[in-house]
Amino acid sequence: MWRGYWIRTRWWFFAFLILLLAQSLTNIVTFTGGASGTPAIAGISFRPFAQRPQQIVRLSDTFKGFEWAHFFRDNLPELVTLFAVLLGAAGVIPRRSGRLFTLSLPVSREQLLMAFAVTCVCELAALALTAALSVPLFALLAGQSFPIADALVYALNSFVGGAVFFFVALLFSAIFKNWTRRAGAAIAIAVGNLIFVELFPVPGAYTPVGLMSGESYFRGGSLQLPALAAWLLVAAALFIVEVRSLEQRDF
Amino acid sequence: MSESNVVEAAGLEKRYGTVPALDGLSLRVPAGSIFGLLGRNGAGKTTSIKVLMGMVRPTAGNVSVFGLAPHEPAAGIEIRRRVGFVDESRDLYERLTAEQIIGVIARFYPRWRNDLAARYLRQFAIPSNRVIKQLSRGTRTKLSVLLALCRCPDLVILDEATSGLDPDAAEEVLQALVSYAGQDGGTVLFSSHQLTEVEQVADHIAIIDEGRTKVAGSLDELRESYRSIEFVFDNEAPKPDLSSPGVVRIKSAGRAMVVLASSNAEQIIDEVRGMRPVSIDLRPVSIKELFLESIVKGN
Repeated sequence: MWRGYWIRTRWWFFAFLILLLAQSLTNIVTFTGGASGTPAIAGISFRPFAQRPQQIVRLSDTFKGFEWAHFFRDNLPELVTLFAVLLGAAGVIPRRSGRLFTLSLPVSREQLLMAFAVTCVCELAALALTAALSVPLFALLAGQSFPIADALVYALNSFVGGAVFFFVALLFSAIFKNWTRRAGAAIAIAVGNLIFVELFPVPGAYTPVGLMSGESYFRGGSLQLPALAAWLLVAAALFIVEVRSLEQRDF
Repeated sequence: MSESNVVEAAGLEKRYGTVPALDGLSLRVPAGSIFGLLGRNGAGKTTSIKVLMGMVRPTAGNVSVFGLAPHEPAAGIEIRRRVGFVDESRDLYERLTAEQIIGVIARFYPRWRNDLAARYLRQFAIPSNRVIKQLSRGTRTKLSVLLALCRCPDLVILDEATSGLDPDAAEEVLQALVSYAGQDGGTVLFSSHQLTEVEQVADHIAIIDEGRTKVAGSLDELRESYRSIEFVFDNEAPKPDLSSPGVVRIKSAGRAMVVLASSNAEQIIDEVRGMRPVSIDLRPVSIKELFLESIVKGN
């Protein structure tokens, strides 16, 4: 089944990968600052949202600040979330293209769901990792440097947040028949989370959107492992709910 | 399960909310038979098949395929391993080519025969490198049949497999099924409302309507036992309640009364003779007549 699901979703994967790599390259080409150290962020407030242009200007004094403000805080989480929602909303049992054919295979629905989830989660991990690692790679081409360890942390943050939104969208695929409703509901939750982070930055930092931005790591250099682990558990719980739901469903 | 029956269902019910899709359906599909499931649109054919495939959980009643309950997860897997299934929509993975889908599917079935797949690809003229989305409905059907037969199943289930096909393509599909049943001793269960094709290939049938089995049995036995008896009277035909067993339906119009009998034609004739008909005509019943007489018309 892995192969079937990979073939079904691979064009989305490649499209998002190309989009992220292009965005990463464009960011580096458009970087006009000169410093390569860590930006002086002590005096920069990241909220409210309306002040973001001024924050970006100040962060853009350094390459590291510029890349975080543009790519790791915005481009990567946004596109990973969108990719995750599209995958999840597609659902394990497609509405079209092989619906009953899939169900007629000699596998349990749990196995189908597991194959689909693992395929999609691997794609999410590969997308986040490749896109994040493109920054230190492309930086060399532009005569800059970006720590690989930082890129890996941002990739991990984006992956965990993306996985949560994937399982949320997957759960909606059991509730809504219409694909746009599934995706719309999952995106609405992501937008709601973003608003929550803007309004309540301290607790918001521990939500999927807050984690994906990598702001805590950017500010303090520490990885939010307990929060990441907790959200992975939430993703696992959503998966279990989806398994139970799928086993009872009529097609 | 009786050893001679591959599929058995009794009192099978499925309700979607308050709407009954199956309302006490009974079914016995003998091993090695070509079994035609006949019924109008919405009669319950597709729901019955979905129940057999474990895609729909019955609300009540008993059902078994190879003696296993299809709605139980482990049993369902075993059933689907032994069943080749062609669904009404022929909805395969559109983005894959025929070659790719064969590669994906073959891994699920230990008895998969690549030689048979190659033979059917040639025989059905299926372009193996073109994505399924670009294939015609007829070619998709043939590919679905290929995927169902090459796994060497004990039972092939087809839901309206030939609907929408041109006669040539339909004939090819039917011949492949007859050949599978004849040479490999497999069982075929197919739903259809094409009476001619059912008569052409089936040896057993069940006519279902409103989620219930109206008529079932071997085609030869049904042809042998069912009779249409027309009585003509001098005056207006009576509308009696006949007590003889085997009366399926009585229709009186003008001077004529027609009785559809599932058996005991002679006993029915004797009973009606007491009403002094001027003529009696006894004749066999075609499957078409049986079908039309069995289903509920209008209200």
